[in-house]
Amino acid sequence: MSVSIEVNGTRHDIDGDPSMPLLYALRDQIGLRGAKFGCGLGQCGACTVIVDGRAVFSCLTPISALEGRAVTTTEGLLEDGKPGKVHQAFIDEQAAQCGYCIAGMVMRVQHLLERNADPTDEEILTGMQANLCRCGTHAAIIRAVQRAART
Amino acid sequence: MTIAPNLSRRSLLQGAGGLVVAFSLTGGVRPASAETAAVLKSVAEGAVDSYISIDPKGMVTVYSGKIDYGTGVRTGFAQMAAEELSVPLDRVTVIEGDTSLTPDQGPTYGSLSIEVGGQAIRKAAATAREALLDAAGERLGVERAGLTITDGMIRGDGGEISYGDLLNGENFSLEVNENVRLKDPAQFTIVGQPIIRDGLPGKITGAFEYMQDLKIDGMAHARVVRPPAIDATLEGVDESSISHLPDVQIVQKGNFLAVVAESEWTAVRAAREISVTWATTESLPDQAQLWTHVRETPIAKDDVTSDIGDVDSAAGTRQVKATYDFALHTHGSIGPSCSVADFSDGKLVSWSSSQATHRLRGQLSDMFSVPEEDVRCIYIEGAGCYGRNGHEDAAADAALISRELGRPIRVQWMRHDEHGWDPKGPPTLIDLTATIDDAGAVAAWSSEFFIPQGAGGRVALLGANLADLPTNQDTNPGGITNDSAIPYGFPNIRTVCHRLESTPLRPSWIRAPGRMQNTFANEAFLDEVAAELAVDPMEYRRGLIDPADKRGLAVLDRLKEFAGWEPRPSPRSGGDGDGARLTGRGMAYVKYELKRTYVGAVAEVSMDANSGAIKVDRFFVVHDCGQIINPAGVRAQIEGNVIQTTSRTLMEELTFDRNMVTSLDWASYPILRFPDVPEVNIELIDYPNEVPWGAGEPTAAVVSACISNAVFDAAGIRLRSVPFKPAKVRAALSEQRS
Amino acid sequence: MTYRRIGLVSIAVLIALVIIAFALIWRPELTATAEGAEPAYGKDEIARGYALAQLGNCESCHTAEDGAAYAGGRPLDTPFGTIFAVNITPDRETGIGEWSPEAFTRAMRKGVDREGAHLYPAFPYTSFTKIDDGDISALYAYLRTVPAVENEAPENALPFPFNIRALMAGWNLLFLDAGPVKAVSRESDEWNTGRYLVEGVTHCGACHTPRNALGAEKSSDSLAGAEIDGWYAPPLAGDGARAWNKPQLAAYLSAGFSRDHGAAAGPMGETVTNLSKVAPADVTAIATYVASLTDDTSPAFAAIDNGVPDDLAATHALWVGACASCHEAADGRANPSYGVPLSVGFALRGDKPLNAARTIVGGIDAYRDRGGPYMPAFGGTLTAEQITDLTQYVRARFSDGAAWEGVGDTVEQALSEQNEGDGQ
Ligand code: FES
Ligand code: FES
Repeated sequence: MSVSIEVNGTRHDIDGDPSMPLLYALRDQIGLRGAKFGCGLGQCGACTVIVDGRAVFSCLTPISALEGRAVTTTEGLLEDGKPGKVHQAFIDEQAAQCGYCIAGMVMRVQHLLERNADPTDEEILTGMQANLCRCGTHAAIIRAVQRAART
Repeated sequence: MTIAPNLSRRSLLQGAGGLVVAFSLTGGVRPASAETAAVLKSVAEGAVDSYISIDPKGMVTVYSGKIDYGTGVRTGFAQMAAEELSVPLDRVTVIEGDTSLTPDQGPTYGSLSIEVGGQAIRKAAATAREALLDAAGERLGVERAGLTITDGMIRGDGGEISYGDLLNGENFSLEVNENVRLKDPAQFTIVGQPIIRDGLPGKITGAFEYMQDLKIDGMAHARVVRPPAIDATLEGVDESSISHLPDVQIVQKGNFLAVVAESEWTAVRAAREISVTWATTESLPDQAQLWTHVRETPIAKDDVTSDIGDVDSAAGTRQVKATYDFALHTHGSIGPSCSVADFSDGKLVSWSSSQATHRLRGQLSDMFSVPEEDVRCIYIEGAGCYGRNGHEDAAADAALISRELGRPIRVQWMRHDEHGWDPKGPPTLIDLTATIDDAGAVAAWSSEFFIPQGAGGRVALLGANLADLPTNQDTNPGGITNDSAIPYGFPNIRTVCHRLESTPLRPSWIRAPGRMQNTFANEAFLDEVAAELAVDPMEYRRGLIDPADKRGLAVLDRLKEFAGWEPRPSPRSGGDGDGARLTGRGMAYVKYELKRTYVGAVAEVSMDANSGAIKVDRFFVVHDCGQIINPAGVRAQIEGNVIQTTSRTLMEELTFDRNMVTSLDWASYPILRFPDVPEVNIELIDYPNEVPWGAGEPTAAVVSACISNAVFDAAGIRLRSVPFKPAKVRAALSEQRS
Repeated sequence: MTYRRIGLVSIAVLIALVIIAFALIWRPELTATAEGAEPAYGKDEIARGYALAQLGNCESCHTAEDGAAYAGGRPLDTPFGTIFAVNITPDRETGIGEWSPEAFTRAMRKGVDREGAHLYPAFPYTSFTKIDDGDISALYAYLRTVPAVENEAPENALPFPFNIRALMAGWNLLFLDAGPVKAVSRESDEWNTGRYLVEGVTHCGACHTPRNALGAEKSSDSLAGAEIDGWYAPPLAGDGARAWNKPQLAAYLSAGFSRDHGAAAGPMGETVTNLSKVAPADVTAIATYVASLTDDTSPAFAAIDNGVPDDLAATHALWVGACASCHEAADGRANPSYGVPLSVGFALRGDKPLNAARTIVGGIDAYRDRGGPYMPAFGGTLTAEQITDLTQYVRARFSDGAAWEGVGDTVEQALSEQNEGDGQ
């Protein structure tokens, strides 16, 4: 089966088992490392990407569900190959320890700010709660969201 | 220093110093054999070449046996080397944990990377600099005193020569001078700066290559199929159950079972859908009776960690006694363990995120009965692991499958593999007694710690066990007797660690192993004593610290001011809680392992006296780790320690039935989420002229006690059992009422 | 009798009727308590009151989304219109700060507020009337301790004639059976405690008992299952009730999950969250009573797997990629989230797709921080059509029931209610 999906503005024809979650297509076929495998259960958010404006867990989204839909990953937020606004806020706050959760966090933040450009602290906390971080980088991530919202 | 991800490994290709490195670790080129790599360069401890090389262009490569899993020590090493060599940071590249290229500096553990690993690099760099200065003096015909170095260029009397030209591609062939003159901290321009951690931008934009991203030519994807019980026996595999999936190979060796496919998703499906028959046995104790089980486990030996005076004959009029316990915890890396192995012609190259590649090499050499020289283990950064999680086991899995199939294999553990099978932080049980005399002083302090035996050895490899291949069977929970002794001057003290013959599940070290559990018990119990004596817990500690320990006292003094601590005994009377919402503050102090980093911290909590839910609102941390290499890195570590340990303290508890672990995902093993993250306020004390100590663990040691003490302050109940789940808090509250 | 006399008698009867009606309808305003004259309540009494408030789900109903606890404002959709829960914090202006214990007791027992106005049975006083005096006073004591919040609940949106509160007097005549339940002496204390809780404070019937045309619980069909808020609360008694035994039910009520019955989703997730805060003995008592309503000697429910439905073969790929990682693993191998077969839950066996479709759309996240069942919401990931197909797929594959009608509408409805922007 072949499915046509737009990823970061480029159309890709993905061949393979239609049940294959988007995560594996991104990582193994398209060669993007941003979305990570963390649980495969929709519990941690390491695989978060944006599909048609909504943050989704790519580990549980089969490619057959995505015909014709548009996907954005952290790589898609680069601007002319340079860090985008959310990226830069994370860099400025040094918001990563191991960083394994971070590409998913970035997408969650992007989604949050797309819907609410000026979130309150409380809205940041609830908006981010689907994503887990084990290193305890939360405080720096919160600062990064605040910074991104300011810029 | 190169910030772009992977440049570190790529620049290796460009031929650093006298090395000829003829392989690529990435980019799909099949690596050279372990044999070629083994003769590339010196890795002997004590040789400058083991740590430093400089190529003709003046690019510096640092080789470190200690590795960085996000903590920032790689950046710290680069800062230390660049500083000693007086070269810009962007000329320094760090290679970590490659058994063929880096010296064996022991595993990365115990917050010793900077203190031990970094100092070794610093001395090697200083030795190299001195030798370069000598050589330059000769070449330029200038006295040593007349030479200056800027950006790797040595100048004197109008002449100049660069490091690159001086060395001209040669090695140093020098021994590290342990007493070498180190750069005067007053001259530091790189050490002490909040440099952005190496790799950080790429982690954010997706460019960084993690272990989980590594692909090599000819590689197939494997998934392991673990038994439904720890001691299960594999009875049969129904191959037809996965016949609908294309090109799946099954690897079975004893009770070890794996499926291999060209496509990763096919391997995932095969592992899920394959039908296997196992015979199970119940080998674990009943979790409901865990603490009885621990208490009744035979004791292999006693380690007396302090024995001052005579606790038994100390005169006292009353005793305070309490028992503390600390649940089993899992590492819970956000990315499950992963490894790639290429086992061909009897030689093995293994890529993993092991923080102990040299030990792993020994273990793999045992497991496959091949000489160590034929095994090369290469570290690649993965998801944070805070100790020894499943990396080594995944490496064993990949190596075993690669040997069976004769092709490179990538093994990625699934979430349930990681939660179910990585080695665990063992359960800890602690009894404490303080004897108080007429004058209201503690006459004797005694404590007994029930903890597993072993330390410093290895953790048996899971794959080796399942496949019935040789492996070291020792338990190894890490140096968990540390901080069982206390930094306070009571006249009679005896602290004993009962080392138990066994513990449920394979133990290993998880961030501040033992130090966390032991400090929790000691610092909360000391708070009980202070409450019994109705004295301020901060003042009380201050009076018990050796007056000669000025740095310890300084930490408490700064903490008092920083946290706005008002001296008074706990619990607070009257309270200023709003209805059922109670608030309190608590403190704890540690001198890590009684000899290193000092941490003093205050927690402020609020709690719901009805539901028993605790919210940690705020932490204040004062931290002295000597000379600070990178304050941004140190702050990040402190913040991470507080948040992670708050999670461990409030919510984490592994569950198991008689067969195996049952908390196999984040739903059954929840961790702290954003809404519950405490605010962390940090004050660093910098001693530029002192030895740099670690920051990766010490703060973790004080967090549980701070929270327990703050809850006592708020509600007058004493939480002695981690995690502090609401049901336990409610039980304590109802006991208090009755 | 002359017409004139008839007329006079009629007038007299009419006057009498009006007086009787007035007597029936009219309730005096009870005196406001004096400000600051609050007695101190014992810690034990407050703790008991807190537990009762959890058992009674009080906070969930009386707290608006993102609003302060107990400050009211949460809408409740009824067939008669929308009713907003009132502020029951001790605020004197907008809450129940001025209510005396008598006023509170009258509201709980008779459905009349302090000023004498009739309340609507969306506030389940028909159940609360069965709570004994001690517990009502404990509840009162607890509610005095919650932070006072000034918040005026919105006006109810009820059309005529339902906006006439006085009508409730007649309703009460018909349907209110005031006063505590009597213990059944041949049953155990635990059973009686359970019945006392179930019929009283936990008001299980409010969701699980079908209602008549006037919105009253049908006493003849007590706990026989009913539709509520777009979900179907399964039967706990009578035909169609699945046999529960006490340990299963106790586990389900305290952890949100039973190996033999699946997970508590939707509004029941909220209930279980509340039950996790009360003494285990209360939960066990409820389990004892409710389990006694079915025949727990009936055989355990067998797992069903009819295989991939022919007409839904394409949907199978969705199942494999999105669902199977939690819901399907070969053999008895341990897998995440307990690996309970889907067929054991009620969701796939009922006559309507409500619970199944709503769970797929909204997931289960009531237990996220304390280790219970979890399911991500697919409402933000899959399209309405894909979710509809999946709902039919699981019905066909894991139940013996006929294909559901109206799945698409149910999915659309659930999606439209899903919090905008709430990806997971
Ligand atoms: S990997 Fe997708 S949510 Fe964890
Ligand atoms: S930075 Fe390591 S998991 Fe978040």
